[in-house]
Formats: sequence, structure tokens, C-alpha cells
Amino acid sequence: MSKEQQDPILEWILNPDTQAEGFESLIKTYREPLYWHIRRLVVSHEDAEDALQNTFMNVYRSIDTFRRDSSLRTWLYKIATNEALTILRNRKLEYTSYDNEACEQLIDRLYADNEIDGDNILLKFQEAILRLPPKQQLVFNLRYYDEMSYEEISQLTGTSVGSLKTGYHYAAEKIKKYMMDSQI
Amino acid sequence: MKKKDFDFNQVGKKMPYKVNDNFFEDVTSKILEQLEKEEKNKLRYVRPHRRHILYWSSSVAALIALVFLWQVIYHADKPNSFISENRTEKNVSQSQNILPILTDTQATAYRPSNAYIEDISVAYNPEPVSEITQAADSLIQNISDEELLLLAEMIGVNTYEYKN
Repeated sequence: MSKEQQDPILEWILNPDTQAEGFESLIKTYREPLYWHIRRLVVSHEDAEDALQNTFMNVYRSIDTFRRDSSLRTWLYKIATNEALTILRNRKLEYTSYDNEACEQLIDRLYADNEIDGDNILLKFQEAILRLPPKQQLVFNLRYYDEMSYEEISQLTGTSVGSLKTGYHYAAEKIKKYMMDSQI
Repeated sequence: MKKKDFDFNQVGKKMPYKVNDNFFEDVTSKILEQLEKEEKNKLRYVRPHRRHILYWSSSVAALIALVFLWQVIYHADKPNSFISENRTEKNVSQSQNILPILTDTQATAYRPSNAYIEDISVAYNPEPVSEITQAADSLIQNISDEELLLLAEMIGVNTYEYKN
């Protein structure tokens, strides 16, 4: 999604005459990437759907406060990430680096909700990501799946670019090792 | 046996998660419906705490105005609000041995001195007051000095007249 395509949507929304069409366009443009980003964090489809709806409602309520110090896309992802983490927190599934129980519960949910057949390697890959520490998980997902630049991820997470690059490198190495040890 | 190196291209960006075909259209409709409801509610929604403040402040202002009006009307023909005519006569009769009897003009202009502390304490011991005055007193305690002065100015009462 290029910046030239993003800005018109924002201008539509900020114009009272075109606000409704602007929001509809915003939802249609970002619903899929945001849903999959959330789903990778919360695993459950129902939770992802709730978080997605909450994300757009929050965007609607706070669009006037958007300061444009980041791109619209980055701002949307930030809200979506917070909504996903809120859901995990509410379900006591928020994984911290010293709490493996939440991680194991998410992995159990991963295998329970999805079919195990020829896609086993895909399940194993998601399991490897879920076993990462939270910050590495987030930077890996945003870089690998959403192809976000390190600068955008830095604006989203508040972490320096250098730390993010290191984090991504370690995450990729851990996933690779996990997949080799699982020998799929 | 050497483990095979893992290639990320084996997975690419595929994920094991699936959704129904119409899921994204359905969720878009749900969100747009919610937005429409919220927009309609915004137009007729008055924040409760603002409404509460408005009602409270209007009630207080009206009550204070009534109290001051009552004070003005009740004490309109009395030069000294806290001393009744009977008490004034009593004080004067008690003071006959101390000071000469004052003329009407002098009595009106008279300000109590220490010689009349006993009389003043009698005069300032309040009679049982009405519930309205008690309620008004407690309300007046809760407003700032500035607000009290402003209201007094509006009604035309000199609050300093009643200070010790």
C-alpha cells in the first residue's frame, strides 16, 4: 500500500462531506491485513474478529487525534496490536518471557482450532513464532508477513531500529532451529 | 544424520488459519452498522456529568438568589439585621447606668463597643432558624467567596455590613 493511496483515504475521512465513504474505504482497504496481523497474535478467529471490530471503532472515535507523525497504516497497526494484546490480557493469555503457561495455551488453541493434515508444516511454523518472546514475535510478524520497514516498526513499538534488526535476526534463527529440530 | 536446513521458502507467507468466504464482507457490514449507530447517538447524547453539573449549578444559583432575596425582604425595614427592636430596647435599658440614652439618630448610627459585649452576645445568639435557612447556609458554605460576592452584587446587598 503506497503512501499516495493512503493519504486520499485520510483526506476523505477528515472531510465531513465524504467521511462515511472514507471510512468504508478505510475498512475495505485494511480489514484483511489487520485481521491476519491480529490473528497471528491471538490465534482464535472469534478473538481476532472482536479485536478487528474494536480496532475500527477506535479509529473512528480517535481519527481527529491522529497527529500524522507516522503513516496511517502504522497508526492502524498500532491500534490493532493494542486491541489484540488487550484481548489476550483479558483472557489471561498475555505471554511474558517469564510465563510459559500462556504461550502453551495459545499453542494448544492453535492445534485445536485448525486442521492437521498437509498443512502441518504451517502449524509448526506458527508454533515456532508463538514460542518467541513477545517483542521478537511482534517484530518478526510485522517484518516477515506485513513487510513493514524497520522505521515503521520502530514508530509502532517505540523500539529503536537497531534493537529491532537484532530482534528480527534472533527470531529468524530461533524459528529455523525449532523447525530443524522438529524435522518436518 | 545431519538435519536438513530449514528454508523459509517452504512456508512463504502461508498460514494454517482459514475463514469463511463471506467473512470480510460480513464484518465490514457489522462495523459500518455500529458506526452508524454511534453517529446517531452522538447527535443526541449529552454527557451525563455535564448535565449533572448544569443542573446542580443552576439549582445552587437559584437557591442562593432566593436566600439573598429573602434576607433583603425580611430585613428591609430593620437597620441592624441581627438585633431586633426588642433587643435594642433591652440593651438600651441595660445600658442606662453606663451611657446616656441615645437619640434615634444616634442609635441608628451606633456601632456596639466592648461595653455591650454581653448584649452583643445575646443579640448574636441566633434564634432557631428555619430549615430553608439552614439548607441555604450549608449550600453557601460550599460556594467560593468570589461566587458569593458576585451573587450579592447582583441582588444589591452589601455583605460587609454584617461582618463583625
